[in-house]
Amino acid sequence: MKTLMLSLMRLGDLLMMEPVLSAWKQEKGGELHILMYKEFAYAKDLFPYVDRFHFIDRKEMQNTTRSADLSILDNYTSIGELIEELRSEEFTQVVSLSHNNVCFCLGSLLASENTSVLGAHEKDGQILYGSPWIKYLNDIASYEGGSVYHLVDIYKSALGLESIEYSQNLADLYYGNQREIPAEEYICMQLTSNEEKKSFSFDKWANVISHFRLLDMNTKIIVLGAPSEEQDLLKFADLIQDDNLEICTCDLKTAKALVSRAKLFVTPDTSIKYLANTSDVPVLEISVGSSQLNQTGSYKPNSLILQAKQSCAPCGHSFECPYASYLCQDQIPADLVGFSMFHHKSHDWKSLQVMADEYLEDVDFYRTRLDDRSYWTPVVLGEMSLEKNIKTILHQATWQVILGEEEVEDWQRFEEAAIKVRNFLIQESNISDDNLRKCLEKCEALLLGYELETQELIRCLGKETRASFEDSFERVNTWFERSGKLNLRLKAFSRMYTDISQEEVAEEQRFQSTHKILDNLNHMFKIERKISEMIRVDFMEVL
Amino acid sequence: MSNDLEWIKTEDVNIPILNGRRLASKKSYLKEAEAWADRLQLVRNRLVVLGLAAGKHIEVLQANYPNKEICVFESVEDIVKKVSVDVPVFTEVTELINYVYSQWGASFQIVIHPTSGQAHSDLYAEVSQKLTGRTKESLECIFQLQGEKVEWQEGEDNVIIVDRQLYSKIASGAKKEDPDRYYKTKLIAEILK
Repeated sequence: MKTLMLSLMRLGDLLMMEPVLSAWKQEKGGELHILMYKEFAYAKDLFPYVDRFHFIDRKEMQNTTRSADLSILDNYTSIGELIEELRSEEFTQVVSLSHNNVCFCLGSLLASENTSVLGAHEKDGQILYGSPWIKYLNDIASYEGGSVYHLVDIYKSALGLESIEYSQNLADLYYGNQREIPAEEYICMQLTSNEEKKSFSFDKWANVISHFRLLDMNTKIIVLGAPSEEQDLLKFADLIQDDNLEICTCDLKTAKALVSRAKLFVTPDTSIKYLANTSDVPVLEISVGSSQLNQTGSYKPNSLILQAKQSCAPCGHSFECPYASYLCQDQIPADLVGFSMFHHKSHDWKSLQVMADEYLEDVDFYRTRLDDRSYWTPVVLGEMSLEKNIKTILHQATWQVILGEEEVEDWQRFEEAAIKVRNFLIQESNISDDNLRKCLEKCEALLLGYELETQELIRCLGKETRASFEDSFERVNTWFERSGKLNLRLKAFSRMYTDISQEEVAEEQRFQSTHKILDNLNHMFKIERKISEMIRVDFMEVL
Repeated sequence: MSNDLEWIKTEDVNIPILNGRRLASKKSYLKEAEAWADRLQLVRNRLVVLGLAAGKHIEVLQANYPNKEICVFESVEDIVKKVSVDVPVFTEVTELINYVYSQWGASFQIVIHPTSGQAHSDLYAEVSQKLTGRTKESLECIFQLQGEKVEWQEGEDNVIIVDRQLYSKIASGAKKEDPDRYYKTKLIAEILK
């Protein structure tokens, strides 16, 4: 087997997929190649098990367009040569790890009788995805905030990887630069991001550290940065005047070694945060700006993620903040972050729970869950969080059944989904019957609410009159939002909605679209009901 | 335009003087050519040299970069007749474009012999634009050679084409008849975004 993985977006997207790449290599074996942008070639050392790297030199291509001494069609020739080089490798499979137009074109160019493509591509005039999970990524997860799964879980499921195992022996390869590792206890902090809106200002970070110092005077703080950031970080060190703080501008390999041995790693949503995935270091992630934590959060168990409760958060990547200051940053106070650092370093989840209650109105505290039997899940801490968490886990289970429909026997799909809900409820209740009963009752109440909501919706749509569509519009949207399944921003639903609401649309077409929605509603509801029945049987005694 | 051409004969080379401008050093032509070749930032393996002059710079290029393929454009026919080099030499732009795109494709680099460049600054700028396809007219000529097609819109007659837009245009015109060409050009347009 010979596999080519395409990673053609940002560096962070490649680093995030490291668990998928290493699991693929360990489980499937064979030759593994990566195609990436040449500007990120310095990250190669983090993937010692990859057999060969291919590159697209984006900067060179951009320079070519500006060079008066080169042909305007030069890039066409160089891309043609790259495609021929890749075709001559005769890959068994090509996997698009970046869901974008660049990979769509490459997938379409490389798909052949002998090369299957996992990822959106065109073949013989048809748009194909290679897996229902990639279709889900295309239809739902590509829309900001739409997914109930982490991107790593989507690819893991699409590739049929049983479990993501972090191979310490591979990670050990990264600890080569031992002289950089201090012997004393230390924490690491990454303060910067490539986007201003995705991290605090230096002044605010200084304030965060001063609050941390109120509780912990002794632990060394290592501030990480790229060599190009050295001057700015040294100015920050001057500003903060902390004798026990060190600036370390280094390469990725050294940063990984430092992070892996730290007692805590504090980071915004930036590529560096994924360096902590293969070690036990507790991660505190600040999710501000366009950080989509449900899809790209710190992929490991027991990370703490802080996100402001702002209606505009998270915003889109290219969205320019219209406010005078970033509200999503302002709403996370420096003292909260400083004190959370102290408690998280001590693995003190009880204190963090108390803080989550205290800041209930302003900040969401997420504790990440990940084990062999479940998907990565950001679990909300604090009062009133149970309902939100059960909803998340039910949506994951429902989608798991839907996306596995073509592959596994009926009972098995439901059983696997039910196990995940069951495990979550047991963890949430801390194995106390009283707590478990509370969780189950909440779950039952939620499902009952869904049932009534869905029946009402079906009734409204079933009338098949334009007035009833208008009337039920709000309800339809609520239902889809609630389910995290489809909403008006999504092509699939907007097309259907247009079909049933436009005057010029033929009755027949409107009739078909209405029934398509009804079928979806019924189908999803049946799945939820069946999962809940299985759980009810399991916990009969408790109930 | 008629050119006033004279020659200075040295031990082993004829130095052209064009319209009163000597096109190579009389005594240090070899050092001059070496220095020029050293200064070049060559990013492609095929070179189109504008200006034949005394021809020594071509010999130096061949010696210093033996793996590079070279051809020359020289508009003054009398220079071509008198100076002999071991690479193809063209006096007509159309012939040059035909040769380059049919033999090499689009992967080549233009280098200009400095004193020849000074003597023919306007002409060489025009030749460069035509050869690199940065005007509508030259692109059409190149497309004909390559079997490409592009549909122009109003107002695009004399603009220097921006690469990404061009690739998007080629892509939109190519989809049905040639998916391979469509996705290659679309891929470039996406990368350049």
